[in-house]
Amino acid sequence: MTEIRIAQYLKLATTAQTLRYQNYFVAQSSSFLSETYDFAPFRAEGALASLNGDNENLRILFPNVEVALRLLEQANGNRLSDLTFATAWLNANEQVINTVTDYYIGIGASYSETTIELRFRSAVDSVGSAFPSRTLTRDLVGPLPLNSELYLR
Amino acid sequence: MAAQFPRIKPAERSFRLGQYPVKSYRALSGATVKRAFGNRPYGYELELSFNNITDDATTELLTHYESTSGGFDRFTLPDTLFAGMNTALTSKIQSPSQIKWEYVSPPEVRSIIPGRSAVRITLAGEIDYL
Repeated sequence: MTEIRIAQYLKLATTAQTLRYQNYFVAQSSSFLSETYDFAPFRAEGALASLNGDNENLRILFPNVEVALRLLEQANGNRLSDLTFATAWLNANEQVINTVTDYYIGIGASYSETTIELRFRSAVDSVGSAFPSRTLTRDLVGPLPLNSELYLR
Repeated sequence: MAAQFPRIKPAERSFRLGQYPVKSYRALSGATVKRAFGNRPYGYELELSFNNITDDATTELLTHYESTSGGFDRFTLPDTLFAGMNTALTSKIQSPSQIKWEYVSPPEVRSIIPGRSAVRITLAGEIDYL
């Protein structure tokens, strides 16, 4: 297939509520996995994976409009949010035929005069081969880390 | 929101439909893959020419441009601009779904004779989703 329609579905859970937006169906709602997603003109950039197992970083860019500002306020500057981000391929009838879903946690945000940037990091990270083959539990290591900054001592 | 465009019949109209948000990738082999990122066209274009209109009508057109804060605010178009077209064609051009019009550049005024001018206006139709 050489003609691909791509929709992105963003589900952002903050302490106050869960927000659902998609960026393909302009000024319309779209149903995805039995949930309704409203339209928002965002775009996503920068998800990369590396051999070192670094966390993936993702940036969601919104125009500087009220809905994005409200989203920031509710998530305490995007530091208390969980993001479920799905990329969906649509057929000519605009039905979802394939999806890829990733999970992220909010690590901050920044403003400019035109854009609000929400920054995320992958919620689950890889562990290098030099790491002891034991299961990390709270009993062993205390509070479990949320990123890849683990040190062997 | 700016006032509706003045009800003055143009002497000429030129229209181009909007385009869909599509990006293409072409491999060295020449094969292409196209990706669409939205279901609505954007970037409609409408050029209007008003020939030999009075100074009052010219002033009305310029005042409308100023009322949009110099092309910042978007607006709708009156039926008068599409006189001579049937209803189906007019609706395609006058009010495409989710589209509002804005000035691409300031109106151009050319004096013909005392009291009469020619005005050329270029508009763009962009998605207004709120």
